[in-house]
Amino acid sequence: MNDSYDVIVVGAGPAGSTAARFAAAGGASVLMLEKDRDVGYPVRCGEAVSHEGVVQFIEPDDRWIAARCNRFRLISPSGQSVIPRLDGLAYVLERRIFDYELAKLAVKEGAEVVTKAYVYDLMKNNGTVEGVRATIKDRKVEIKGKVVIGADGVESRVGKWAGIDTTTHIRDMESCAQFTLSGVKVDEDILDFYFGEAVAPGGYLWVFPKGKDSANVGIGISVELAKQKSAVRYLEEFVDRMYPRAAILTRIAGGVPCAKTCDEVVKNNVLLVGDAAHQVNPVSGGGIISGMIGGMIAGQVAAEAVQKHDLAHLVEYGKRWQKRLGWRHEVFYRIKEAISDFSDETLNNLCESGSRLPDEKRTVGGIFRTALWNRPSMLIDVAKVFIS
Amino acid sequence: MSRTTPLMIHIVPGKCDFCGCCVGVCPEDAIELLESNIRIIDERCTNCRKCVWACPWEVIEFHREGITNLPTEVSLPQEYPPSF
Ligand SMILES: Cc1cc2nc3c(=O)[nH]c(=O)nc-3n(C[C@H](O)[C@H](O)[C@H](O)COP(=O)(O)OP(=O)(O)OC[C@H]3O[C@@H](n4cnc5c(N)ncnc54)[C@H](O)[C@@H]3O)c2cc1C
Ligand code: SF4
Ligand code: SF4
Repeated sequence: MNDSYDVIVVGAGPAGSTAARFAAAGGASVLMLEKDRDVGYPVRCGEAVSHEGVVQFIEPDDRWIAARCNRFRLISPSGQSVIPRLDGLAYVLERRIFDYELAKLAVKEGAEVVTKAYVYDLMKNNGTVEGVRATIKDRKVEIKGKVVIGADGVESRVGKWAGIDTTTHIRDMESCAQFTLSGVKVDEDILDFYFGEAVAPGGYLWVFPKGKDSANVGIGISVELAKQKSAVRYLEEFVDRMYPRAAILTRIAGGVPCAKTCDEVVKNNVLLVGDAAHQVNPVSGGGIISGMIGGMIAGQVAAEAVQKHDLAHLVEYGKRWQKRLGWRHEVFYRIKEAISDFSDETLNNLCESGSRLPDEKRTVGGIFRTALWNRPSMLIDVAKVFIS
Repeated sequence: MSRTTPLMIHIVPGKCDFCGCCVGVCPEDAIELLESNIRIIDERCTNCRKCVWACPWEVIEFHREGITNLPTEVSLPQEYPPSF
C-alpha cells in the first residue's frame, strides 16, 4: 500500500467494487478500503437480482447463483395470491461469493484492496477533501487521494464528513430482518411477496428460494411504522406461523434507504455511490444493480477527471447518474408514496381481480387496469400512482 | 447542537448485529459503527430516538432518567475478538 492514490474507495460492497473496477480500468491508481475482515460477509440482503441487470457487469456463474426464478407471486392481506408474468429471469444470488467476484474484477484491473481498514475521517484542506484517515489493523494512517468515493452503504458517514446531508428520513428507511431457513418446502422458481398492515406495514415480506429446501425469508418495514413493534418481531411471527419446523441458519438485521437519490452526490472531490447515495429502487428496495450502475459511472468519471487533471469534471457524475437512473427513481418514489397509502382492502382487491386475468394479460399493468374496471373507486388510488 | 439533558440512549451490550440501520437515520452523525463495535457519541446525540425506532433488533433503549450508569459501548463476546 502506498500513501497516495488517484482514487480511494471506502467500502467493498457491489457499488464500491464496481467503482474501483471502472476507475482502475480508466487508468487511475485505486485503493479500496473495507472495514470488515471479509469482503461480502455478513450478507445483509435478500439477494434477488434480474438477469439483465447482472449481465451488464459479469457473466452469470453457477457458483454464485442459488436459484433461477421466472415468476413472482403477490400475496394479499387476505391470503389471496396472484402470479404476474415476469418478463425475463431473476436470480437469487450467493452474495458472499458474488461480492468476492466483483472485488476480484477490480483487482484484475489493478485496484488494491485492504480489509480490516476502517475509515474514520477525511483529510481536508480548506474544505477540499484530500484523502482519508483510517485504522488499518491497529495502526492509524493517513492516505492521500485526489478523489474519494464513498461506497460505505446504509451506514454511510463519508458523505456527511464531506458536507452532504445523507440522513435517511424515518419514513423512507426500511428497517429489515431476515432469516435464512433450511428444511422448508419452497417453490424453487418463484419469488414471493407478502403485503399488508398485519404482515409488513409500509413495506413487504419476502420469501426467496435458495435451492430446493432453503430460502431467504425477510421483511422490511418503514421506521415510521416500526415505533411500536420492530421488524424482527413481525418476521418471527410469520416464520412461526408458516415454517414452524424450519431450521434458522442465519439471522441478520439491516436497513434500506428507500428514498430518492441524495440531492448531492458530488462535493469537495467526494463522490457517493450505492446505498450511501440512496441509489436504491424506492419501490422494491433493490439496490445491488443500481448501486453497481452508480459505481460504474462514478469510477469512469473519476478516472476521466484524474486523466484530464481537472477535478471540476467530477460534477459529470451527478449528471450522468440522473440521466441513467436518477430520474427513474424519482418516478418510482412517487409511485411508492401512493402505494404506501393503499389500505388492506385495496390490496385485496388488486390481488383478487388480478388473479382472474388470463395468463398473457397478467402483467403488473394489466392487474392495475382490471382492478380499476371492477371497482371504479380505485381509480383515485391508482391515479395517485401515475399522476402527481 | 448542545444538549442540556443527560444522554438517554442506550445500546444493550452484546445484542447488536452491527447492521447500520440506526446510523442511516441519525441526523447528528452521533453513532460510530465498526465491524463488531458500536458507540453513541455522547456530545452529538440529541436524544431524538430515531435510532431506537429504526433498530430491527430492538437493541437500542430509551431511558428518560438518563443512562449515566450504564455502559454505552457493546462488543461481541471474547470468541469473536473485535477487529480493531
Ligand atoms: C435485508 C435486506 C434485503 C435486501 N434485499 C435485496 C435484494 O433482494 N435485491 C437487491 O438488489 N437489493 C437488496 N437489498 C439492498 C442491497 O443489499 C443494497 O442496496 C446493496 O448491498 C448496496 O450495495 P453498496 O455497495 O452500496 O453497500 P454495501 O453492500 O452495504 O457495502 C458497503 C460496505 O462499506 C463498508 N463500510 C462502511 N463504512 C465503512 C468505513 N467507515 N470504512 C470502511 N468500510 C466501510 C461496509 O462494511 C460494507 O462492506 C437488501 C438490503 C437488505 C438490508
Ligand atoms: S437519539 Fe437521535 S441523535 Fe442520538 S444517536 Fe439516536 S438518532 Fe442519533
Ligand atoms: S443498534 Fe440495531 S440498528 Fe444499530 S447497528 Fe445494532 S442492530 Fe443495527
